[in-house]
Amino acid sequence: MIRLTLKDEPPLRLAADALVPERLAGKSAAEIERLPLAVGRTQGAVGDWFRVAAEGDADIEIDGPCGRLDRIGAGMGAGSIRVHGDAGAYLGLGMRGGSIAVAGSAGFGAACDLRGGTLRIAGDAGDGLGGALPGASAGMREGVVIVAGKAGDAAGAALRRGLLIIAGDAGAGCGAEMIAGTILVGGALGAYAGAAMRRGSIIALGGAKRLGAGFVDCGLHDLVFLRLLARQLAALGLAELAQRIGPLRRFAGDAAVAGKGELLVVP
Amino acid sequence: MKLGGVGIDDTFAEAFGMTATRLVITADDARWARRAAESMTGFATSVIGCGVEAGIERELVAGETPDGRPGIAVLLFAVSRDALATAVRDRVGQCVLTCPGTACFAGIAGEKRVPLGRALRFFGDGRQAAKRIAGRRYWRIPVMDGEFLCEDEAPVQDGVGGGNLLLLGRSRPAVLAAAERAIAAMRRVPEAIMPFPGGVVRSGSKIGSRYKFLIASTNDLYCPTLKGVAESALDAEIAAVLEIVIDGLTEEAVGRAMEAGIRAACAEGAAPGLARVSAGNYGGKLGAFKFYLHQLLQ
Repeated sequence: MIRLTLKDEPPLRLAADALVPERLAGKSAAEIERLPLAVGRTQGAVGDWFRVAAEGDADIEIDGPCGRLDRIGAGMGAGSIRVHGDAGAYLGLGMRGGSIAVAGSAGFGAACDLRGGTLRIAGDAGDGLGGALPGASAGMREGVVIVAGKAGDAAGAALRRGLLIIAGDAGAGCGAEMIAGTILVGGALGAYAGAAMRRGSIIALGGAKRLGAGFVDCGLHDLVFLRLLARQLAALGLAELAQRIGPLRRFAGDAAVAGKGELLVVP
Repeated sequence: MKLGGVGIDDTFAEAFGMTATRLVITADDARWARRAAESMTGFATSVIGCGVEAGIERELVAGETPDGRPGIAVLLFAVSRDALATAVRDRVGQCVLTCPGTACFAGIAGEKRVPLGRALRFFGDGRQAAKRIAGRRYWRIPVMDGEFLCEDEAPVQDGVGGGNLLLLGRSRPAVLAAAERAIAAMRRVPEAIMPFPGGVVRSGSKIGSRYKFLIASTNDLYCPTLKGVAESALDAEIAAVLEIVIDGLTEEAVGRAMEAGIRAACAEGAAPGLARVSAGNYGGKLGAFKFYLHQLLQ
């Protein structure tokens, strides 16, 4: 395990792209401390900011005041990262595999452009959860994201594939311009969820605020695929959410874009 | 060799390599799952005439199925992956998709696959939707009672078809009773099916016929009414012969089913009328698998 303890909260945003298991594997603590790590335009090294302890495998634990530590686990393809506090922006950006667990909350753009793996946030997630990079046509493309708390606006915007679970409330525009995939919200779904969505499912177990005019009520249904989803939730340790899945009211849309997606809302 | 006074011929059953798959059919209750499974595995006794051999492997309780509902596991065997793909598409499309409340899932893992939901999704006329759950892909096809959920593809594997037992006895009721005992025991063996009606076939066949258009014809060696007219494998006391054909996902499964069948058939001894247990083969020249009856019982 490699333990990285942030000595102090950095004065500026600190990008942690380099600190992924595959890049640190096989390196000693001293070698890791010498790896370059820039803050703004100032060149520095990992050791300037972190105390490093390394022994055994390359799984990473990050400790300290990490709220300004951005891009944790960016692009990682395997292994695990555990953050014992909050995480900054773009947590798991472009992550391809492995797992990240954050004990606190995450900032803007967590799971942005996610390509695989599992990302768990014990607290809340900021805006743009599972979204797309600026100019990109699609957001999260694969993988599983679990937020135990609430998520900000535009969660799962332009979601392409994968499963995004928000146990608490979701902000406005959840699943906007969604292409496919599944979003499950345990709390209340914010306004205009699924706006301009083309395909995919947004499941709201805590009700939904202000559905867009492009959604058509198809009635109450007990859909078999939800049983499979409930099993997956239970396997992910979300038995409480799984038990809440039952017959749901289906709203098809968004008709504004001839969409074939759906909002499944607790009756 | 005798088992309970019943003679066990020193011979072997000759079986062939096939392409096989298992499908899991679920429904709101076990009755409707079984109705779909029975319909789907109907007219699937022999690849010669049906293109596929299929049968119910066993009933599944809710905890064993992907969607947590009661289900039935069915096995299908064909001579090639293409033939199996056609049979799966047609049978699931006509017998499971149509059956109220059902869903259909792949029941084995593997790299080689045949289309399942992806071949049936067009029934949704553009309203179908793919859904990936826990790494597996499904199709949701709108139907009049809601949605038909069907896994995208079904893995296939090498299987064994044509394992067989011949039960020879002094009366048809006696042989049929022995066959029923055998089938009851063989149905408890996993990964194997007996595809004929009730698991039993009376019209055992030989390869070829005197007619150009007929590739298989009656096995006159074992027809009791032809004793003395044609070459016969039956002695004077034999009045009826019934065959049990076994297909299995593995050679071991076929062997286990055959052994269970022999032991059950002989369980009441020779007194009720079962005289011999034998097996059909082609001299060992055609099939890749040989099941020697004496070895099965050792």
